[in-house]
Amino acid sequence: MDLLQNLANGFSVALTPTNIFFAFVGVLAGQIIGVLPGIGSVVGISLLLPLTFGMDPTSAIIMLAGIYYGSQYGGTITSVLINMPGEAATVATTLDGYQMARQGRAAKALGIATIGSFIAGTFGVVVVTLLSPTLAEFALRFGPPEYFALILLGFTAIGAVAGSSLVKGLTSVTVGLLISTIGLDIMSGRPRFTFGEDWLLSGFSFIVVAIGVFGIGEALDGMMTPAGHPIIRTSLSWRESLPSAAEWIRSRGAIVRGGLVGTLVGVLPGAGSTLASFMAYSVERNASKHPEEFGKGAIEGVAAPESANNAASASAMIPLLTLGVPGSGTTAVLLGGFLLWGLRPGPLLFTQHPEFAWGLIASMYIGNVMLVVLNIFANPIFAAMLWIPYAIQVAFVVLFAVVGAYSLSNNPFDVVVMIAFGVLGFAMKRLDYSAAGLILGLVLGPLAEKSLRQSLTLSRGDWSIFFERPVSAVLMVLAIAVLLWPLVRKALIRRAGLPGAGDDVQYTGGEE
Amino acid sequence: MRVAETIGALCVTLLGITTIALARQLPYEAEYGPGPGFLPLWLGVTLVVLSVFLVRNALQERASVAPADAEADHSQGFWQFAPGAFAPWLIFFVSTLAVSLLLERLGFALSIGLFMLVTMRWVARQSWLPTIILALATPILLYLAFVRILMVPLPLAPPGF
Repeated sequence: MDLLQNLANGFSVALTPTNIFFAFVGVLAGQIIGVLPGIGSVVGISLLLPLTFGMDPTSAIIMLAGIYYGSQYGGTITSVLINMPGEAATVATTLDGYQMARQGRAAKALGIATIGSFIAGTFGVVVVTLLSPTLAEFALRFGPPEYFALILLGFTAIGAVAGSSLVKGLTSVTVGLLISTIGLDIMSGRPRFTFGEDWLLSGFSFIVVAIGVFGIGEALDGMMTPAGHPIIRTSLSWRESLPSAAEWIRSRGAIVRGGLVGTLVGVLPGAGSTLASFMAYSVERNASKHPEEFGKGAIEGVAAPESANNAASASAMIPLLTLGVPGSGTTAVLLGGFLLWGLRPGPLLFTQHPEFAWGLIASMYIGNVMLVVLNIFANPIFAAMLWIPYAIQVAFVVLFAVVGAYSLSNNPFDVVVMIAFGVLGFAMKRLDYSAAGLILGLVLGPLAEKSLRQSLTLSRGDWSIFFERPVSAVLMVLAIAVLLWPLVRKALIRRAGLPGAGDDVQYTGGEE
Repeated sequence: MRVAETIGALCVTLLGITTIALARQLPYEAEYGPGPGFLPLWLGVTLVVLSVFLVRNALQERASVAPADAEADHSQGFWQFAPGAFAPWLIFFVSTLAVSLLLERLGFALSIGLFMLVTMRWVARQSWLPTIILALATPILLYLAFVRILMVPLPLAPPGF
């Protein structure tokens, strides 16, 4: 009953005219950001975060979360019509979505993607509703060792799945952690790495770093190969986008399986919606009676990954809200937003700020309904945006980045620092180091250091404290297993005599 | 890309060594437990260890590329541009630097207007009419959206715009 009461209270918050307006602005902005190739949810949220400072935190998070899950819908349009994903999480959709478009079935691909996204996305929100309070209650028992072990697992997991190699992923996380140590030491108040400069005492603002690394870095990288892609011209009317009975029968299992895979993977630290969409595609191909049709325009090949990425973007909110530990670059930026608004996500969020937590959850139900309507009726308008040249898109990214960085503290020096991190982000992108790993290390650095030092103070320097408590022991073992997995995998492949590439789908796109 | 990979790995080594050197100047232990130098020192050590693997991987990649493939590999390097993309990229990069450095001196309206003029004309290769419209309209729209509606203060030039 408490759950229903809390949810009802959440709806009373989310259904105020202001919050409905911001939910709509968020999903619309997310849809547009998803459509524009090269500007993903993490870039969009980083660029728009500075504008939310003066806003009510609940309205702000409703809008930013709308951008996150809205972009999962929007990215599908580019994947289907120009074979270029607008979002990292829609890369798997290009495999069959573009083939369907070439066969004159683009509207059907977008239609089933919308329906699958809505069903699975709503399922993901239901899981968030049911699981979050329980997990938050469980997390109240977490002490510093559990938090440190959990963050370590997040670091190793994102290191393992982001970028081209575990070593590069871990390097990115370590550099992010190192940047987080610049400024006053959180426990002793002693300056670190400030070189006597006063402006370094407060360290680097994570937003300045995020805008630079994601916004400017992506823009500089994208401008190296800005060539346009041929757009498939086809009717996208809502009547044509509705699936036939046969197509629905083929897709419904894929939607259910994609939703389940996405929800499960989204909760895991470091995994996120990109990995979820690939796993769902792989699962669907193995489960299908027609695996030979995959890659040639199978409708299940669109339904499964699209359902998975939306379910994952919803369930990714669970670790963020209940533990205060984000699992991806986008949720790391959202966590940074929480901190800027003076909120500390974690187990106490649901008791100290219930209107915020439940208002956000309720808004996700509303946002999904808005997105279905937008996607069914307004797809032709969004598709028209693909005609905007890439150079014009990135010019506006730079403008938003400059204005956003300046507005943080009206300091032109922040803009220069942002550009410097943009150059770093560009180099990282070219060398395939994970920018999301760097941001995760930067955002979680203070909490990781505090938990580590508190744990070692409690144990008088004895590291076995992390293995003596059951929850932290399990998390530490998992973190070590993630570190060792590449070696085990290599050994297993060698023993089985298989070629090195074990994955079904190779992914070389951006990050989420 | 192989050279860039090696340089990148060596930068990580340098960062790690520098971190260790600087962290050693901070107290490793405090009265209550680990001190302010504790984590940075271990981060520096971690970076050095990771950089060993990065250098090894970069060198292995170099060794595994046959001489015949070296030229092809070189073409997929760090600075691999699409045909004709280098000049627009350079203009875009310099314009981005300029708008960042001149924002406060020229005021946001003039610096953003100039940025749009240059990028629309010589990067996006638009004709003069849309270029001028965008160069004039963008600062006005940004002024209305940020300064008037969102109340975000932006640097104004002496005339107040």
